[in-house]
Amino acid sequence: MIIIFTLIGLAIGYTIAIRYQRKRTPLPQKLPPRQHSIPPPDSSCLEDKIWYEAELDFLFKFNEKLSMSLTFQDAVRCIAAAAHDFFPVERTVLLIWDKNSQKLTLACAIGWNHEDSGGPLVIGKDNISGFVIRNREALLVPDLAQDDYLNKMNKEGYLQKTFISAPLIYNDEVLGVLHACDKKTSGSFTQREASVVMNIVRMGAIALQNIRLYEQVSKRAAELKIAYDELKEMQDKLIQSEKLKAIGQLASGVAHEMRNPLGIIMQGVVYLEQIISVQEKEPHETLSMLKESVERADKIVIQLLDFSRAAKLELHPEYIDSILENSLGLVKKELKNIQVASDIQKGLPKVSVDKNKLTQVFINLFMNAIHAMPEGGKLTIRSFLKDDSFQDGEKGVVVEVEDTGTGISEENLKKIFNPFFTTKGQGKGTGLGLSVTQNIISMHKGLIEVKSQVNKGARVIITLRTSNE
Amino acid sequence: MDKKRILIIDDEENFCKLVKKNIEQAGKFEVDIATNGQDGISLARQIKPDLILLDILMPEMDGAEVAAQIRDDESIRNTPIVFLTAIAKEEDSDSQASLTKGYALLSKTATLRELMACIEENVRRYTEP
Repeated sequence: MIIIFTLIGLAIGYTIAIRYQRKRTPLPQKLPPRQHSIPPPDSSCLEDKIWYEAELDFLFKFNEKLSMSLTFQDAVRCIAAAAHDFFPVERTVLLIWDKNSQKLTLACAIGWNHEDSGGPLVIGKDNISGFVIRNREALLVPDLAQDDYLNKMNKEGYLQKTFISAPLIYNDEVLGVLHACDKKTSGSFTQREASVVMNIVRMGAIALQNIRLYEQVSKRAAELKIAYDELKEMQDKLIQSEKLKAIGQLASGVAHEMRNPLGIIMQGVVYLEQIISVQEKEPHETLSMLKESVERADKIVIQLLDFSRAAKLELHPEYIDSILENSLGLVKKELKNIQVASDIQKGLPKVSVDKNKLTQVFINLFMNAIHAMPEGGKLTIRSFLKDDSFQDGEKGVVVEVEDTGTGISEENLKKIFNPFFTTKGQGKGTGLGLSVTQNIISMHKGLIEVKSQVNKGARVIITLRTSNE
Repeated sequence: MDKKRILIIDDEENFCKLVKKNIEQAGKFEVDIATNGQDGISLARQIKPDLILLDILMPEMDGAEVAAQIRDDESIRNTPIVFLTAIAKEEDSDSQASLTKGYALLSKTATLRELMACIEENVRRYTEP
């Protein structure tokens, strides 16, 4: 009985042993070196000491160069070049590991062209690089032909005879793998040389991770900047449009109230003009001054009302050149000593605009230019088609109105679209012209921009959307 | 020939007085004044003017209401009405445009020539339909 149990026990034990043996992962013939620091020099050996100092000097210079790399690709190149130049070797290849796709991508190769060799640009895990990444340990292979296990796994064209393969690890995360293959001076790599490669990959991993973080932060910062700019622009537009609305309401109220007393003064002046004899020059002079003032005040009231007028556009497809020429004709008698250079292109696509409102815009711009050139000058009017004018990539018809006048200071340039902002003298401008102009252009979903320098004139650039018809 | 009668309805008394003087100066018209809507309607019924100059913005009863009541009154419904406005053009205000649709408009700061031309045109249109 005891014998039978013993036999059964032996049979079970044997089966387990076989199973275990079958499951066991075979290890490579050559174990990788586990050295992560440079061994201290043997103080009794002069050669060792020199070698140690040379290593330190090399690593110091490498570190300096690495820390100056600002992009991921720069750092990758710097790491590969360091490993390549140190020995030097025939081929150096650096692959970057993507843990999401579980793939290795060639990041830098020196002395080897993956296209020539038909080698892979992106490779999976079942190869020597994958083995290094899985084991998270460096390999020092003196002769690949002698190592059956690795030789079977080798699908990478650059790994031929002797090589060091080291993983780039930062904080337990594998970033990639560096291969330095075949010393130019022939012979295998020494443990000391391997330790230099270990230091290169250690420093390299830190640099790569830092650059990755830096790039992520930069990208995020750029995204935030764009979002912030967009928000700011929208807010500015909103404030501007609310401001215009509020001022519009106020203006309309004020205009009504102003017109009543103005009407009384006007009727009074009319009455006095009739009853005072034409012979009495002085009273008549006074009356005409009063009349002029009433008319001026009245003009301001009309402009206020223009400003507050409900935003209703009557859009029709129009040729910009005819609107421009018409507007120019209306200010002709104001031009006096101003020369007009017209570069208005014919046959531009039609724009979808409210002709009357746009005429008002151009008259405003021409009058501003004329007022900026009291001593005379040149008024240039250009129109042309421009691709990619708008954020949505649409092309636009651009109109430029340029003068050679007094120009606008940088400080004033920020304020020119503000309602009631004017640099013209008392009673000469209401400061509503450009505000109305901007309002009309934005109602057309167009763009307006003013460029100017003091004493160098000003250029107003208006971009309008082309009509689909 | 009798002088034509014009009625001004405007809450600005000084304005009314001056316009009266200016219109009467020409010698063709006789002008009456009312400084609120209710008085204006009563006076219109009484004197049957040839034309009414009517302010739009007045306290209590505005110009539009006055015009509506005049149009509802058999005896004076055909009297031509010219609105006196602080706003010169019909398109200036949506609300005003709908109120004064079909009526003549005259700016309060009109010169004598504009004032007389507007009055004469509207009186003539009424008398020579």
